[in-house]
Amino acid sequence: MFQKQNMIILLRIRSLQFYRELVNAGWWAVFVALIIYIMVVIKIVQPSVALLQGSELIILFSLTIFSINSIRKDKRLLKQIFPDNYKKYLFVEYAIFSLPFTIPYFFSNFQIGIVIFLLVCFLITQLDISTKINLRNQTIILKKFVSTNNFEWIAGMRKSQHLIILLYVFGVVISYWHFAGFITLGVITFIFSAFYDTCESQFILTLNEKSSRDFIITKLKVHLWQYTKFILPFLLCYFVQYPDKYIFYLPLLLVYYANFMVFILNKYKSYIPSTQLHSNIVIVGLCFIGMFIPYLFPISIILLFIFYSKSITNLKDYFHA
Amino acid sequence: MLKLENLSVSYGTNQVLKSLDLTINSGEIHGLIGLNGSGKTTLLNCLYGFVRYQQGTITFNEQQLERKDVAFLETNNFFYSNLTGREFLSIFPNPNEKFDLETWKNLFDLPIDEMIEGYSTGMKKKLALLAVLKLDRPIIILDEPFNGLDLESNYLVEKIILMLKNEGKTILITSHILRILHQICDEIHWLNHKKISKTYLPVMFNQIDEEVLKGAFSETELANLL
Repeated sequence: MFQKQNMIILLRIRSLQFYRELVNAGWWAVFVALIIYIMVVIKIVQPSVALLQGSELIILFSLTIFSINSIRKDKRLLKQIFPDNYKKYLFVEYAIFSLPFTIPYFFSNFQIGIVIFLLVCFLITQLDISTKINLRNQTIILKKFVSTNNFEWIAGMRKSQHLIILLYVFGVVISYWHFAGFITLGVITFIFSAFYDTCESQFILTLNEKSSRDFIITKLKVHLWQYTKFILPFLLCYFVQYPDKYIFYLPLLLVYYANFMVFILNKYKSYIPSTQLHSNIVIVGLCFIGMFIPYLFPISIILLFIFYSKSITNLKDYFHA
Repeated sequence: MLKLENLSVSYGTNQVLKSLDLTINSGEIHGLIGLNGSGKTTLLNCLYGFVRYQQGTITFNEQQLERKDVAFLETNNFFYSNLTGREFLSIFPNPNEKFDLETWKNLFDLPIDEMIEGYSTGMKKKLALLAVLKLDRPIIILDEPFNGLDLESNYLVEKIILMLKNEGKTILITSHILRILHQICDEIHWLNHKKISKTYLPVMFNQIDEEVLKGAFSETELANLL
């Protein structure tokens, strides 16, 4: 009885957390999420002929639950609250919070999907898997190329260097066949956005510069130089092979640079000492859409100017306090 | 000489420090004690410039105190993820050519080429302290420097603080471990009712326990609770 009451209390707290996350994300993010949700529901209720077609979303949902279950950090706490049946709690939580996605299956011709999903959820909760942080000092392949005090790039490269290098080489290889491979550089630039999703402490922020404007200008200079050094061989590769396509490259390059600066400025526009940024995901999404939809092309250039002044204003409090 | 005069700080309508005065001579270690929420960290944040003060002045050697004069060891140190200890330290400028990272690394028994995520609380504290030492600034603020340290490291940090004093550094330190403050401080200040309500010289250190903790809680009430 006691455990059941605790379960209800905890589920209520979880709902409250979810609600607060939505409020923090803002109406714009909620609106986008709602559209995505509606699209998912339409996809579920669409009559599917093949079994694979009906089960693809179930696979996606299961993978999501698996990832959440692997990375969640409250398992020790749950084991203390529910020493005997914390796995049961996990299952109930996943089943309840998946309801908006499982209920539409009642109106589809793949109702068995609910049973499959719940079964997979049950199995996931039975596996006590937790992702361990990689404590190995992974060597950064291009470390000599990154300046020693550029901590964003050192940390970011350690985390994503394999993907970045793979895409870089892929982009270069594509250049032998088609000039459109240049778009790979845009994708790599988006990976760089993750380099700027953690805010340093105020002590580190104010170490060298006296004003927020000086800080932002120095930061942009240093990081743009780093970015330019990184993309230079890639640019040469395309410009040498397709010199007549500069009309295609130059606007794209302008957008890539603008995107890169938007990622940096977004960090300082929302800077709160020693925190992880959440707004980055929304901004990255907007810039990404902007890169592929022609009429949204200037979105990052507009954001650049807005974020520049906003970041200076936001940092003023930390520099002139 | 570090001098705080008539310092007042408020967060909105909540006044935390009111007309506070404090003087610390160069080459001295001063302790700051107070109950939770008494404003110790606010005072330290003011000194580094993290918090804006509404009234008063802070001067160092009769000049307005600047950030470049102060090194600050915070209670909860922040470490960027996916960095090794050595990479973290490279963020901090090194004005002192004497600073030998390899010797410090051995002295602190710190695996600086390993990822910070794998460090214990004490190791993280030592790493943050190394950053402060590397900065080599004339004023050093240490907010709870002994938290999370083992016995040996506690002793080592005590010795380092005393050596910094001999080098002429001005040190302000907060700690809930009164025994250590007794051993290293030239003066201990009790922050209470938004200001320094009393300053204890070494001959008076024994009075601190009794005076500060007096009336903090009722033993009878506590006994009834348990």
